Amino acid sequence: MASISYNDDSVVVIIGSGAGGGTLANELCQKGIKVVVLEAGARQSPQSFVNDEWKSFGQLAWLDPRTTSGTWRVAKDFSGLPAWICKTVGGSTTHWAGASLRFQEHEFRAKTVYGDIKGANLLDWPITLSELAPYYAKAENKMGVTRTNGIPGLPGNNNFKVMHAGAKKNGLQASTHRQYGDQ
Amino acid sequence: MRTIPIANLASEFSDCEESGIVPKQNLPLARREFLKGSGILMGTLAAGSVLAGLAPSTVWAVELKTLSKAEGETLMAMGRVIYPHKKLPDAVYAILAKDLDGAAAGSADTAKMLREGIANLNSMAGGNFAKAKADKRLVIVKGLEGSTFFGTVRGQCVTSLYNNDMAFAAFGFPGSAWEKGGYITRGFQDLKWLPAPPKEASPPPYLG
Repeated sequence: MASISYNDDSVVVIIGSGAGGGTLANELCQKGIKVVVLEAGARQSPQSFVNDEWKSFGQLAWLDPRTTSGTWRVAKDFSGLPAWICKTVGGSTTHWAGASLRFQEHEFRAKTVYGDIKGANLLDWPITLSELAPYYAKAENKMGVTRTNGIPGLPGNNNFKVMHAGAKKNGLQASTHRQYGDQ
Repeated sequence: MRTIPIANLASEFSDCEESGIVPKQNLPLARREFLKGSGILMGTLAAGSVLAGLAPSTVWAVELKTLSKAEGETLMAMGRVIYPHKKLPDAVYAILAKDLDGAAAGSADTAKMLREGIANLNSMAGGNFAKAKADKRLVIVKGLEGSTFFGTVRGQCVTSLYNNDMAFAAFGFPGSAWEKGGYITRGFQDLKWLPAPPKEASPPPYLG
């Protein structure tokens, strides 16, 4: 690992080594910019990964209690249960199958589309989908997102088969990505 | 306090963050020596069952540290009311009692809450909840929905009943796959009672 002095102000410090931080660090390094990535979690390896949901949760996830409120089911039944968010080198990309959905055009204009919601500070994004599209393409290519750049979609598992059948019965479409044909 | 006791989980894994080595779970089937506990739950697995084939012995036993045998049996019966599975033997519901007993051992407040909840179940059943008729047990437990006691037992069920090798075997979940070459060829989409989704919705597995 490179050694960088504390007063070197040419260094970019990135907090988190996940999809955002890790990708950015890689891009910057390729441009010759010095980068320090800070990661709170440990580094795992094929020898240490556990292929068991609950044990893996103990190994990879942030275990700090969740704070939640309101009437939704999780707040009611498992208010302290941490979310399955990774605290490990690679962040949530270590627990990711490669499906990543772009925002849809209207989702950039939530305030305009849905109107004001009392008590909420809803805003439209200051950018549009078409402005962001080239960067989406770049990130999808870099991260190997399924159903982009010739990468096939994920095969649905048994659970997906049940969901697909239920959706079809209710006149809806289900896919291991977005609706067919959508980006 | 309607939570899964993550605190226990966190401490259990606190030593493994650096090394990544996860400690082996102490499954009750492997337990043959008994300490001075407060009670022991015992039973046998049906001979010839899937689980009997996996276990070193058809006799199982779970030692309780705080709750009594009768209290443990009441919790097992309550677990079976909330999540009834004919496929799961009592040995799995005994894990629920053991884990709740562990929570009781770790907190006097939890112990008191569980004991009061159990006593309440028995009194509503007119003496012995575990021996009451099934429809009566259901009505009693339904009446407790929303209580702290109900929430604690139900929350514990999620991991105690479903996250163990006996449950995996009973439900046909093949478990860890990566060391066997991954999950793709190990039945993750072998469901046959529904039509297969079209390729656009669910493409065939990518095998390189």
